[in-house]
Amino acid sequence: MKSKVTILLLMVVSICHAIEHERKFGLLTPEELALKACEFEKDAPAVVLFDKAEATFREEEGEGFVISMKRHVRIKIFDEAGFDQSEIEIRLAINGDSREKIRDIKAISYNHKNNQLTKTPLEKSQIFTEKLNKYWYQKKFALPEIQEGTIIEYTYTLTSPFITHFTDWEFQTDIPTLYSEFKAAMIPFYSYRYRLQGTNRLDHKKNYEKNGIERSFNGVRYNDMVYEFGLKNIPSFKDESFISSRNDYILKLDFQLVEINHPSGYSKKFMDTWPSLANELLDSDSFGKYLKKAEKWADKNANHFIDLPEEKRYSEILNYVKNNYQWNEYNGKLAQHSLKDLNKKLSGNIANLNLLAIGIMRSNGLNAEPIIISTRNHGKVSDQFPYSDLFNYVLILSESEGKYRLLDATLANCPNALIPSRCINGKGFIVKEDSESWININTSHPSTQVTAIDYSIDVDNYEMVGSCQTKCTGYIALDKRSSYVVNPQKFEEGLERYGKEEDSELEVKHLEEKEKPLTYSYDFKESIDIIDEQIIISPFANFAPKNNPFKQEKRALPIDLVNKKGYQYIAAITIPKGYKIDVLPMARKMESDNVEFNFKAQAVGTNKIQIVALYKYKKSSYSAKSYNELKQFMNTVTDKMNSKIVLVKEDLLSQK
Amino acid sequence: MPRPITLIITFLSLTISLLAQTDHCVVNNYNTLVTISGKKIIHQVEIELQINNGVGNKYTEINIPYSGNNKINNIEAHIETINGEIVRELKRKNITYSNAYLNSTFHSDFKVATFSLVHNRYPYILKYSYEQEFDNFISLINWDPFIEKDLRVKKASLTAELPKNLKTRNIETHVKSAQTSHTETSDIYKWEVSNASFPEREYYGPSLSTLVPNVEIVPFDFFYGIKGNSETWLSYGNWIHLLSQGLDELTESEKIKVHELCDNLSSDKEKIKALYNYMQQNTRYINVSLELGGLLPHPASYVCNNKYGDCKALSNYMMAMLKEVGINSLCADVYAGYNPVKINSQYPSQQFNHVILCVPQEKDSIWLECTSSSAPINYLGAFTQNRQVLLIEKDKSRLVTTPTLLPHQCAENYYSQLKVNSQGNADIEVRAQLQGQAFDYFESFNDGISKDKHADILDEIGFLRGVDIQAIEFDRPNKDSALITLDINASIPNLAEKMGNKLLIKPIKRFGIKLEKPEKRTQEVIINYPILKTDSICIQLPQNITKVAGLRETSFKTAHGKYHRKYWINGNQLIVKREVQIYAAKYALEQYQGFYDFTRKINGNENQKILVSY
Repeated sequence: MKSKVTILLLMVVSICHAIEHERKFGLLTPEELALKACEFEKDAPAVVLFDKAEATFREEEGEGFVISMKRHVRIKIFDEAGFDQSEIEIRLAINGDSREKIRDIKAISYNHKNNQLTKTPLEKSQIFTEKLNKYWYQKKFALPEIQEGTIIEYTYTLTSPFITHFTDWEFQTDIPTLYSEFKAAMIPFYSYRYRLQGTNRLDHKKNYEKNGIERSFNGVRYNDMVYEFGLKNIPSFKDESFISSRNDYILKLDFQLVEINHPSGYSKKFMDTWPSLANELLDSDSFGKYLKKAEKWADKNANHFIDLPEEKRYSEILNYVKNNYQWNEYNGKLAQHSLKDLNKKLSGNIANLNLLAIGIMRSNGLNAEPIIISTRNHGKVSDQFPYSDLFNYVLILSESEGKYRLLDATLANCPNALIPSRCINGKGFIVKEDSESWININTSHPSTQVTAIDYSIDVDNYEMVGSCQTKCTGYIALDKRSSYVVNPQKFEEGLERYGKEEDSELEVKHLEEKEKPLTYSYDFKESIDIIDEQIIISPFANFAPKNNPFKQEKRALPIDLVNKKGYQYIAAITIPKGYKIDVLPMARKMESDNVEFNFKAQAVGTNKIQIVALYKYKKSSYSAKSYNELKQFMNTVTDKMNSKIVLVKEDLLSQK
Repeated sequence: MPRPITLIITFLSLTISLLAQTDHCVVNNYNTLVTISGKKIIHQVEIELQINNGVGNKYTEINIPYSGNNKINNIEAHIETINGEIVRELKRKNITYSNAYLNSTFHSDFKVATFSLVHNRYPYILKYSYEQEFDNFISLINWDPFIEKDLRVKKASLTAELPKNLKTRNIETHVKSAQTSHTETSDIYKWEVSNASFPEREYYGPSLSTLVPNVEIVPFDFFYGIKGNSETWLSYGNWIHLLSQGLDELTESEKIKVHELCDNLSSDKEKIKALYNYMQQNTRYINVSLELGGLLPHPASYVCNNKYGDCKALSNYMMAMLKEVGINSLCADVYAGYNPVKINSQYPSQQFNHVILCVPQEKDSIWLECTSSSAPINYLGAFTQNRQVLLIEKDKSRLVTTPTLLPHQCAENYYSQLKVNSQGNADIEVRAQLQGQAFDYFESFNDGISKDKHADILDEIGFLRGVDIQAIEFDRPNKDSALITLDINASIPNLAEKMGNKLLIKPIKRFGIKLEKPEKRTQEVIINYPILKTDSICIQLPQNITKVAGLRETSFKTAHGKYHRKYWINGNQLIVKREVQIYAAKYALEQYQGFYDFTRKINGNENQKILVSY
């Protein structure tokens, strides 16, 4: 009987142990030393054995509460490709005079050879500080004695005065992780809400009140409430093409401050409802008040649009801001400079320019509201979590006769009907007093490109010779316009890769008229094959897509194409004298809810061939499940569009 | 009547094309003044940019790089209209100082001062100026007239006001000689460049930095850490030697390790090999460059403790280990690169960017690349082969030439088997035996780059075009030899296309050299190391072959190289053997046509599709 009890106890203990992963700095386990590869990702060059952090609130002289996070990471490196895991960078935020700070960095490399364990500590002198820009700096170090099989371990304590930005915890990184745990010890004066992204299961979750001596603050006695979040065996994060942002898919935990309730009586709701978020922004010097000032300023300085018809008024105001102010490449939902400074510098962040545009619109009798959004590289927002941090951009919502439109005044080349593609990312929150309203940030404008070529065959020189005209709209036109404006020479060189003759003049239409389709034309030349008096031509020369952009075997993440796209190709071919068609590709048509393809080749008269091909992506984004369909589709498209025409000498054909 | 209309049209289109060519931003003036004040060198720089349109605004973010040791002072800037009215001035608080990132450097004290001033009435002028001080210097200045590669410079000048009788060597490249004038106390030199654009890269052309106008003023006596002299390579070498003197002490535990490894070995060769292997297995490249770190190595003990370092530190550490067992070795300063800048042997100065180690032997020295954990012993590769290097030895420093890669050391041999199915898709198996630059590129692949990235990288460099790679295996049969084998299994969609009873096969693994048309070429051709590629390709088709068209047997040889191709039909198999060789050589512009024709002839052969009849 007695022995049975012991066994039970042991089991309980070992289960706890496996989950808790209590590990001390400087003490390795035999399993860690023996580990040769990551079991669930055999090829991984290194594995995070554990990554643990504990965040607590500390009282700091003169600063009130700060967040103090102690982090402890241990990584095993299996082969040379994992050596760069030993180069550690820790990013730290700066905001005006306050900044995140780091102390007690300790790091050790362990090498286990010939049954001997050697420990090499990181020398303090090898920890470097680098300033990155106004908002960030970093600490950096490279661990010593890195070899295959080295285990590295480091720990540090980060203190942050930015209570509203309680650290995000990423469970996932670019190598697999055996165990990742975040522990938050909360105090009664701040309430947070958390959001788990990428999974709805935790391997370890525990809430409890901390034992021991009570803490006290302003006469209130309390114990920390501890929340523990743990995940086991986390695969490495693999970036895939056609996704909006790594931020949207990585396994992570976000915290957002909901309210502050100081024992002194001070209390502030940060984010419990959307309407309060709206009100708070409207009350802010860098948002609502800035907007009011902009409107007043416009009353005096930019109200000359008032007599224009409404449609034109919007458009002219957008042009006015685009032409007179420069975007300084910073995003932001809050204005970076005051209106006065903006008018001195003539350059500002997104909020500076778009809020100014709204002010001018209002001053000229137009309806315009600010919408806050998150850009593609910043990740998606969710309407369940009123987190102001999730937003980094302001757009303009205009309303005219019940019709709503999204506008942006920050990108000079962008047609006024489009918003920059960086903005197309889920939902936007309309900032209006006491209200919660959302709008989908997408564009119904499909982007199109029509390529028309007309050529004849120069049999003596083994060449096709003709002209090409390309006409594009939407984002395709925007991209091409921008690249042409930045460097016309490079643009031309790019066309030479498709066969443009170096000496042929490139004629560009509507370059400056950003609202019209961009059209450009030139002469081209491309070699063809003539084998045994048979002319073999790729009907679309070099212009048709050659490679399938969907290359992955498996797809885990949705495919985000930003907007709908359609491509049309038209070829008119003059058959040389004395030749006849031998082989002409068959027509092909396919259509589904997702895509469409139509291909048709036909002889016209006695000496012409006309081929028309059209392929379309009917949606702007697709679920991962559709990946195979897209892949098959583009296989068919590239296949068909590159299939050959064969022309033979007339007498040769009659011999057949 | 039609005439005037034509005239107007021509006139309009002319203005449009002129406008299209206008620079978005241009450097109106870029003036530099070098003076000496006591022991300090002072550079005063003034720049005037003209911004012509909104696109040009991106050049108004100014980055001034400097080293943390050298003070940067008096940064001033303002915007003025084209008529000289000042619109806005830079405030000190709007200058940001941050760390600069250098390729392949982990941490350094290189910094950058950044500011931005814009305006919205075009054109406008941005003027800025600053001063830099140098306590440590080898040359007084190393100057070229460009501030950004894509900005044309209307006028640039360098003025040096030097104390009378200061002995300097003024190295002028692609610039008119200085105008000199004299005052009682100083000699004044002035170089001017006008209307200059940064040269553009041409295929197989020289390294661009050799084409840029450049002035370097090297004083005979300089100070960098310690006093030095650059009258001769010998005196210059003595300075490097002195600078790193005393840094070759190993830690006690490392000494024990060195003896453990070597004491049982009898020959120097074995000892060198044992220590080189030890270093390769235990150290790696990390560059931390602070203060004089550009030229002063970290001591050997730093590498003993951290097991990492840059080229200087690792070479110095290897030298210290060899010294511990009584073997003499010498550091060699080299300009490393696949397309290197040739050392100007007449002008002793800092012309190098890398350090390797030379172990003199009775016959032929042993060369060691200390920053690679996988290079074979005594193998320099295309990165450092065949060029002058400075051997550093007390009172004996001298230029010597590194061994040259011979054609057979650069051979790449490929054996490919293709099976084409009835749909025209093919499976391909390639075995490649690679030497030369291909070896240099791939030798560290197996260990250094994680396996799941191999296919992407091969795709990116276009190793085999148009294929879907399924498996890749790298193997180095012998660590001491510069040979790597690479096995690839892949599929090629649509390799062949059925047309009636014929099959059109695209060229496989074509070899092509891309070059500018002769009328566009402005630079000489440099082939730094020989190119030698052989291929045996066996294509297996679903049916027996009766006739092949489009494929010719060819063989030709010129002064530039050789090309040779043969084929056989064997039932349903088509076997092609091919060999291309291009000699290492230089061709002046007058010889370009010949080389161009040679490569065209090869390309013509390689691009030909094959038409097979069943």
